[in-house]
Amino acid sequence: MTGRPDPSRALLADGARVINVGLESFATDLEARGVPVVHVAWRPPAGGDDASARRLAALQDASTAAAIQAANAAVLDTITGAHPVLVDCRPAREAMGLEERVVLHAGPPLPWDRACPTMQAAVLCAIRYEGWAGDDAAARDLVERGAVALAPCHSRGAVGPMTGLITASMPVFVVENRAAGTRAYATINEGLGAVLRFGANDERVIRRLGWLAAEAGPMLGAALRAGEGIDLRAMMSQALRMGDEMHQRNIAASALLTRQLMPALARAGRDTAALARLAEFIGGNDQFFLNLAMAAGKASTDPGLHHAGSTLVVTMARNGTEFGIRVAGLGDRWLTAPVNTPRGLYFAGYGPEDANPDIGDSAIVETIGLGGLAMAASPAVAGFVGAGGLHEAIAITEEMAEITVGEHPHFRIPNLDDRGAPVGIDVRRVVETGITPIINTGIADRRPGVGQIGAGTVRAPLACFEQALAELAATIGDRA
Amino acid sequence: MSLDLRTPASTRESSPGHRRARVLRIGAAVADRLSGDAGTIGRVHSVFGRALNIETLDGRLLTLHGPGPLRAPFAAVIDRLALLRAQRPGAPVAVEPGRLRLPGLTLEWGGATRVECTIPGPPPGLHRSVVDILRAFDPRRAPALDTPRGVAARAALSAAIVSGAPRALVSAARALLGLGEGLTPAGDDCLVGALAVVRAIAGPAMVGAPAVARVVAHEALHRTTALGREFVIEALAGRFSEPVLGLLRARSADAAAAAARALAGLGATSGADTLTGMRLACGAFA
Amino acid sequence: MAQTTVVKPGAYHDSVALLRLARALRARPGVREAAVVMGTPANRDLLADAGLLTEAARAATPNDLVIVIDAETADGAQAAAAAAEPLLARSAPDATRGGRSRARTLAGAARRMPDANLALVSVPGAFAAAEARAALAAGLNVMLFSDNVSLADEVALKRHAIRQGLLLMGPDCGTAYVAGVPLGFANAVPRGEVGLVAASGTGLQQVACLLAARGRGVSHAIGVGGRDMSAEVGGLMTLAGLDLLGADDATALIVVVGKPPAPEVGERIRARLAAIGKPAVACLLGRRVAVGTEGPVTTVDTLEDAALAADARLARTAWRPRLFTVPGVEARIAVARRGLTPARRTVLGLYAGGTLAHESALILESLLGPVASNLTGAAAGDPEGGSPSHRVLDLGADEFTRGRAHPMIDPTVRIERIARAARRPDVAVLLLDVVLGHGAADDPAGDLAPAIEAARATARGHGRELAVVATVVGTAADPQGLAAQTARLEAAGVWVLPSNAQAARAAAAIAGNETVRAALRAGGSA
Repeated sequence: MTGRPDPSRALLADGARVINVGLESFATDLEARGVPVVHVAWRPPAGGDDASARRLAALQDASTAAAIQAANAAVLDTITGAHPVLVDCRPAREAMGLEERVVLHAGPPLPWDRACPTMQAAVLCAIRYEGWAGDDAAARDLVERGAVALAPCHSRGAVGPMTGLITASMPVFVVENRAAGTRAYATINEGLGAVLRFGANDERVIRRLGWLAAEAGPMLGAALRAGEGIDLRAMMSQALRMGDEMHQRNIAASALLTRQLMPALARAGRDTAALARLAEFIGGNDQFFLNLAMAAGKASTDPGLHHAGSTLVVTMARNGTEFGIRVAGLGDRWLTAPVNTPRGLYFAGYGPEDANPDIGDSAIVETIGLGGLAMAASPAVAGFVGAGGLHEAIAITEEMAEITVGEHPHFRIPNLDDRGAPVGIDVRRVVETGITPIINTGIADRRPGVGQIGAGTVRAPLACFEQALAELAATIGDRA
Repeated sequence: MSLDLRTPASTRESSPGHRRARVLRIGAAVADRLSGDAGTIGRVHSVFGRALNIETLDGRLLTLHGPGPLRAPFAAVIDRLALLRAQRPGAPVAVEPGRLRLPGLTLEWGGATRVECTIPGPPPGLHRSVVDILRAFDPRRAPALDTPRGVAARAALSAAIVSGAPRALVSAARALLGLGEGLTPAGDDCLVGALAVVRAIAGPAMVGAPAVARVVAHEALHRTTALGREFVIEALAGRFSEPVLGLLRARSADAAAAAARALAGLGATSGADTLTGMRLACGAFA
Repeated sequence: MAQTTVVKPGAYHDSVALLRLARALRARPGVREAAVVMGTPANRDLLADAGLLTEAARAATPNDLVIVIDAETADGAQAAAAAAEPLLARSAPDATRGGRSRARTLAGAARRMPDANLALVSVPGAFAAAEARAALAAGLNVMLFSDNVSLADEVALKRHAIRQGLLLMGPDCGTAYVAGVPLGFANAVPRGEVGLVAASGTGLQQVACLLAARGRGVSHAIGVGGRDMSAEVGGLMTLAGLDLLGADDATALIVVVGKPPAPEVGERIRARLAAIGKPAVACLLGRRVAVGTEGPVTTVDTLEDAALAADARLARTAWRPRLFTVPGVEARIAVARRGLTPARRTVLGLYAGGTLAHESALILESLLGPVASNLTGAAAGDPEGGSPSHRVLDLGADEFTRGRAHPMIDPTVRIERIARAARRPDVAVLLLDVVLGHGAADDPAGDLAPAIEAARATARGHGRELAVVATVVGTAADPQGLAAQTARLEAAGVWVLPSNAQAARAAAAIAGNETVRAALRAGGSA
């Protein structure tokens, strides 16, 4: 016993470098004495909730924990090893076999009568756009009779921002995950103004959707099919270095995409006036890339579903009424809770009372380590959403690292000495710490069609994760 | 009862424990001012998370802050910033040879590096890349500087620099002094930035005229905060913070960009407001 | 419509804080406009432009912070003004931290400090074992300040630590020094060549302070927790700590402090000390300790003697126990006895330090006979019993600290007890400890002195004289200052002795009969 191994001797030889867990005054004292110290703002696991604490403890048992760790490592590899490539753009009926009289929407499954006014208005508009009904009353009748079915985008391999609507004739981008052979779909971002995703429902919206289907979509499709595909992973990692976090800010990614897309578009198109219209449309939309980032996220995370034993989150989405998550170890099951309303900065003349509850599939980008999780890469966004400056942005990413299990090998953040973005949200850590994922988001007006009135951040509701933990404890506990 | 007459050591010791910190760097002018002093020289004026200000008996200030460039020509860098947080405004400050004493704290400055914060007499001019950086600088939206009064005051300062008339300069300075929120109101920072560029391009003749300096210093006495006034007085004497000096001395585009970034990050908004003033003066000379 | 103005002279905040405050105030219901500026003439002009230049604002000077609130109702304006202060207070630390996030888990902290080597755990007992386990798993030595850790957890944690070559100090480890740096509740003592292994926090503090008073410093002090030397734990960390100090070049002499170990553990400790061979002092407080030197180990029976013996052995001078080290003891005892009546013969010890209480109980018992206390393993008896007997209370014990802070921080319980003692006709002497150092109350003597003065006055009102004897455990370098704290107590009429053992003896001499005093006299000259 006289030859004890090193760590305790090293402590006496080198002096203490302390992690302080508990009374903060100890940390303050140590700091004043010049002792290096990091204080942990400790709170009881699961906020002192006994049921959750018991479930956490059950999953901490050595052999169970090791199995979970292995499963999570596999899912993390799947997500971070994904290689999304943009390969095509064609109507949803062709690309994803979407039937007539089906309207896909954002978020978890949503009965019509529980949909928020913005979502309802958008659905009616989409039905009129497809020509399934001539006016809102007839459209409403179709939905209420069940003659038009509602389904989540996620259930059909797709994702959509805000209301997220997709119907058969809308052109969708096709993103292929070459690492797993899966595909995911997202519509073309409509730009600003009166748009379907904010629940606008008038002729201008339908005119623009018509143009996207008749002119923009086919041109984009032709250009993409003529090439080898556009490597979205490389593009996103570059854009991250240019200050985008790919949720609230996509200006660099949009520019990079445009740079690569334009020669192909010019080669594929003969109608120069049409080409000019499309170039103008893409160039005028700073968020053009958002839908592609989302499709890339969907293509990257879908292969992680149905991975028994894993506690990692693979989907986060909101439908304006509920926030839903899906967890690798729980398959298709949605765990839902009422959505929170975003907090942030409002455009002049608007305030929190005008805000629509949180909505959209865009939180998929947070599940792959972008958006709020990569806030440190994008101080401009932190300022824009009212979260402060660079220090606050870094603080947000550091906080998210508390609830994730890995760092993204491709998405690196210059402001953090090129460390990878935190990725792989672990249900256990969320419940243990009470830190819920932060999502960067646009804020929509609660009145349909008014559009974006601000930008901010929103927290995923803890209840989703508590339910997920309960289900995980039940399933994993059963197998053990 | 046979009793030991030895006095235990524990009752011999009577002086309460002092903590110690070292002054690493100090502005040359303020070091000179203090080194002649002895005894109580002032009191703690204000304590912040990142700095502590001492007001000396003559109404001037000394700022203590943690490692990094001197944030003011009247600043000193100390190695253990955390020790300052225990200090309270009003506490007495004394000078002894080679050290500064505050309640429970001794600051040794024997080994401190003296930092010359003065722009030398003959105007060094500004490197092209510094001018470019300043022209490209996007002025911060300082609410007070954007009010009609703020806009008018900035225009007056610009006109005063163009005309070079001492009286115009005094009246522009009067309008800017104390304008805006903060420890050093935005107007003061703007004025200091402008004075830095004026000094670098035109030399001390323009603002160094004793009459101008005296009048502005007097105005500052009752028109702005103690900290704002100290910056302005020092600027009139040609002394500036290291980040300002760093930008003025930059001799390449990279160096200028780095220096401008460092300055912009100074204080809550001070650096940006200073850059606003530098840009203004630069524009006036063009 | 109503306007309210707050003028705060000499309140300095940076502009971001002021802008943030203005924004927060504007966001309050019923507030139409809010301005937060320094009261410079230029800003007063701006306020005038905005219709906000109230009389009070007009009178402000450039070094005043001016807050003007324009609200729909007077109540709304007042409420907003009241909210401004806490909002400002909150903004200050934000600016300090520069927005850096705080780690929320041990893993998060380890990411921020990858070369950390010690976790200081002070979370509630129910969670402490889990945090300690996580720290050990992360390769960190642990100082477990928390108490209420189960014996089973303690054994498991210590075995885990030993396997990984890590230290697990505690549980209930209040004090430790690593490379001269104090952790937890600790006194400012110089760095030196005495290494300690202690099963007790205040015992360690007493020894370290008395060493410091003789100019001796501490190399390291390893707290092992009160149960380490029990049969169940088997002295795992005591032995590991001895090995560390044995191999440590900075340590010239080892002191072991604790209560009597389980016999087999005691054997192992003695054997280990003999094997290490460095000069050592063992102070394991119990009844009938065989004092003396055998091989490298000197055995003593008080904390003070541990320090004095260590000092003497390092100085290579002869040492023998002394009962008092200050002059004038006999005279002070005589003075204190003047007001005594035959009915008032008992000593009441009211202690913040558990080991100090234990030591006093042993000394009082040896001199005065049975002592009632709430100490485990010491003399039994109902401490609150009606029959007049000598009593020693450890006010840091669970039954007194439930729902409130330890008496080293919060004097309330002790103040109550002192007041109660004044009304008891049997109490002749009040025996106290005052513990200084980082983590202890800012002014413990100042907290107790008024209560002591009041108690003495009360007793005097009943025609009695209440003697108060105490020791102050601290050093001149402690934040509270040993001399200042001693002076404060003496001003309140307290007889302050240099060590707890001497205080206990003095109390016994006052309360006891002539036989006791004769024994003390004989012991002192022995």
